[in-house]
Amino acid sequence: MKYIVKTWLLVLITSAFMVMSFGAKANPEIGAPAPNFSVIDSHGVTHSLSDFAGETVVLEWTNHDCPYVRKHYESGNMQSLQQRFTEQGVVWLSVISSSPGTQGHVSAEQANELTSSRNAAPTAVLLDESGTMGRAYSARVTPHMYVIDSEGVLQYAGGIDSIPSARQSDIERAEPYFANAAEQVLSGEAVSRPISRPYGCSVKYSD
Amino acid sequence: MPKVQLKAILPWFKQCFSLAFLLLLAPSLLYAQTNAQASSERVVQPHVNVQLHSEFDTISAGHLYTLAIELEQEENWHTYWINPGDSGEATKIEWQGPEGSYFDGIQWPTVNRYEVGPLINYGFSDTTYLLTDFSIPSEYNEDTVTLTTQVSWLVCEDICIPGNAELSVTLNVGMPSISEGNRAHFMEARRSLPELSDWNVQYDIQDGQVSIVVEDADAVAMAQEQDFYTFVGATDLVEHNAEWQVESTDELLILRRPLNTFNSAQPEGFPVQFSSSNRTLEAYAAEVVAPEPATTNNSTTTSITFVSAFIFAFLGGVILNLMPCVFPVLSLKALAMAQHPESKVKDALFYCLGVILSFIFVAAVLIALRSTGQALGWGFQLQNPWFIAVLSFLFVAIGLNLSGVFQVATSLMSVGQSSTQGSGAKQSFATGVLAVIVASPCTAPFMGAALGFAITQPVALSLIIFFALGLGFAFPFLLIGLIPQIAKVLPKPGQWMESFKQWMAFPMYITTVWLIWVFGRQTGMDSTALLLLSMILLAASLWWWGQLQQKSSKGIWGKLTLLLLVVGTVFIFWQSMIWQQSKPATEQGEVEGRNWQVWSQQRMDSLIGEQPVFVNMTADWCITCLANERVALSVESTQNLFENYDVAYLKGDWTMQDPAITEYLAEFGRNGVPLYVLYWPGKEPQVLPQILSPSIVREHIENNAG
Repeated sequence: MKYIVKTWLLVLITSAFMVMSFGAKANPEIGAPAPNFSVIDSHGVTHSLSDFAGETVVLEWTNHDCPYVRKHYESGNMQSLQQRFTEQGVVWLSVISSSPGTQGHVSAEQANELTSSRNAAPTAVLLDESGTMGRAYSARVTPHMYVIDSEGVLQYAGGIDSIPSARQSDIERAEPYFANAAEQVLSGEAVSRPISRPYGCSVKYSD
Repeated sequence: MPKVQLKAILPWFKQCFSLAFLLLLAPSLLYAQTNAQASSERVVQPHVNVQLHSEFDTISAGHLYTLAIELEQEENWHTYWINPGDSGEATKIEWQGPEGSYFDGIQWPTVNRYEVGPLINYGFSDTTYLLTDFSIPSEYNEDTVTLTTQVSWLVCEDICIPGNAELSVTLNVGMPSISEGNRAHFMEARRSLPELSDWNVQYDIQDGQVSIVVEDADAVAMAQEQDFYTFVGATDLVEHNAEWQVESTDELLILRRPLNTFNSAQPEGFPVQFSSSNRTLEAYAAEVVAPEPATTNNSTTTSITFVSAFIFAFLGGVILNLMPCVFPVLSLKALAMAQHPESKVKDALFYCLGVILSFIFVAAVLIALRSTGQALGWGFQLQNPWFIAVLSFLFVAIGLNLSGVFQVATSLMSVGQSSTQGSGAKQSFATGVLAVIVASPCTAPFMGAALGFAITQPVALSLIIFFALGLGFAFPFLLIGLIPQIAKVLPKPGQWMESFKQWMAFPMYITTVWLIWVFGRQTGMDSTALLLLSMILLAASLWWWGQLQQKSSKGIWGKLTLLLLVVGTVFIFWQSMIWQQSKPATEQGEVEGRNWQVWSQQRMDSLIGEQPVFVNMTADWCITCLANERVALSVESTQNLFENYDVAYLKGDWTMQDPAITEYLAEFGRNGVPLYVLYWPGKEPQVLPQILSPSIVREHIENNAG
């Protein structure tokens, strides 16, 4: 009897440990299939990663009031990146994971208004207000950039460039980690710097 | 201006100048209080007010003083540490002062942790001071100095606002005086600084885990204090929203945390703050660097070895000329050259060539022998006790020979002396070759030492050593050939040569002591005692042989005694080796609390069939290894586990890059430690993760036991 209890206890502890470690290990891994998602966009269309099989996908976590996001939108840098890559057939998804009532959280109309007022050119703006997609990708900051190749494999995760600041003048001096990686993925090369430190405001998840 | 006039006005000018100086100085002394601006204006920005303060309002040039940037933050708002955590940005400070000014880094105050949903930030709230030491150049000679800073920060609550400000202070230059108005600021600033500690902190990344090891008893004690937490001052090293795994022994505190998901660089080092409810200490963590393997052909180290080996071998070659059986030949040769001055340069060169080629021939033979030996599985390394023991015998024999206890091939000498006379290119070459042979009775001891060293070295180095020896040996002849006057300076052969030779015996004995020490460390006291015993028998054999050499008729009893002594030497030598091989097993039971045996391929092979075997390859400089041992292997639960399942625990020490272990690691595709392998009878060997915990070890063993 004692033995059975002990065994069950062990099983319980082990499984609890496994669940915990699974939770902690849910981090995206370069070279591994990117986590799937199913999120509604600002036009009411639901998008899943599997919908884009055969296409290169860029994920951009955003929060329009975050100074680091504003640095890249007010300078026009983000829009030009969106144009440059969508023209090459890339699916560009801007993801908003701010929970309701936090900075950056927007309604579908506001999202569309932001897109047109800022001349942004994403393929779609995903409204991930539950933060499920954000957590799956371990998105931590805005802007946080990911590149997924046409086979659904994660090829880049990290910052937009090399200088962590909110100053527009730094964009020119910075090494464009994300853009370089996206170009390399498009040309079928190995990404020379597949991971970098993301910088910016924290993603405003609900606790 | 004429000279006379200048002389006349000079005293007046001097007086005038001192008066002017006084007049100038007085106002500046008065101004000292009013002119200096030891605090900048207070810049008011959203959620934070910023001001620059100087601790002194008058400073002296060339000395260190301190500036403080005060960040007064609104309640619930914070700015960031050098490592802001998952998001945010560290406050940046850029300084401007007179050219040549020095500004040190920011002295960060004790840091706090902020949870933002699932994310973690590190920074400071309320009023924070960022201190910076600075100095202005010692040649600075103006009355005041202005120091300007550009501060940029990110201040966050839930949302973040970047800000920046330009602040400046103007200070007097002169007798330093503290700014009374700023005293309170600096007291407050220093109160919030962590205490600097000299703890030895190292870090390492293995298998997605960061291990930080602190070698200090106080750190171990601190880990027990309430709210103990470790702040890592590197941006993307550890996962911020993860718990520390804290383990400790008497002297070692081991902290582990998963590597950051977005880690892209391995810093050389970073500051770490250890904090508890009682205190905060700051230390610097350095990356663990494994030493270069002794056997790899690192270009810089080899070139150094090559050069020093060349120099020593060359000097050795020159010294050879002073030996009793060489020096007379040298004198003769010098004489012969003096007689045929017309061809002396050519003579000298050919002689030199003959000598060097002979030496290289010896080296070639050695290399050939060695490769045969290696093919047979003999290891000519200092890690091999067999080899050490044989070398120590060689050196004792060489020493005794130099001491004059016995002679080697004395008959060769007379042959050689006659053929060294004459001249001509061919003959000079032959003389060179012969000189090497002729000199061998005396040079043999030295050659032996060189051979002993060279056999442990790579081929190229062996060749260089022998080349240099030959060059050194031929050098005096070469010199005489080129500059005949040198011959006159040469001392005359005499009794001093014999004394010199006998003196040279002592370095050999000293080398023997070193070899015995190495042997003793490898095998233990008992084997060493036996080795020494057989060495005495060797000495007796050689001595007796020397006695026989002097007798004209060697009786059968004399020869029999020699044979007995030699047999005794060999027998006891053999004993010392057998003892060595069974040593670890005997020691195992004797060493209290030690549940492992020393790894060797043979030991492992012999155990594998019989019982489960756990192999641990470690090195003293590998902190992950040490941490694993303390945390997972030498703990009681694992010791009991090994005992219950009858697991033999073998430990291999790769601190000195033992080649046998290098080979073993290579079998598992590794070129470094740690490596943990579990052999279960009837199953394939299993490699365990590089980061161990007692549960990982238990799991592996219990899974196998079924």
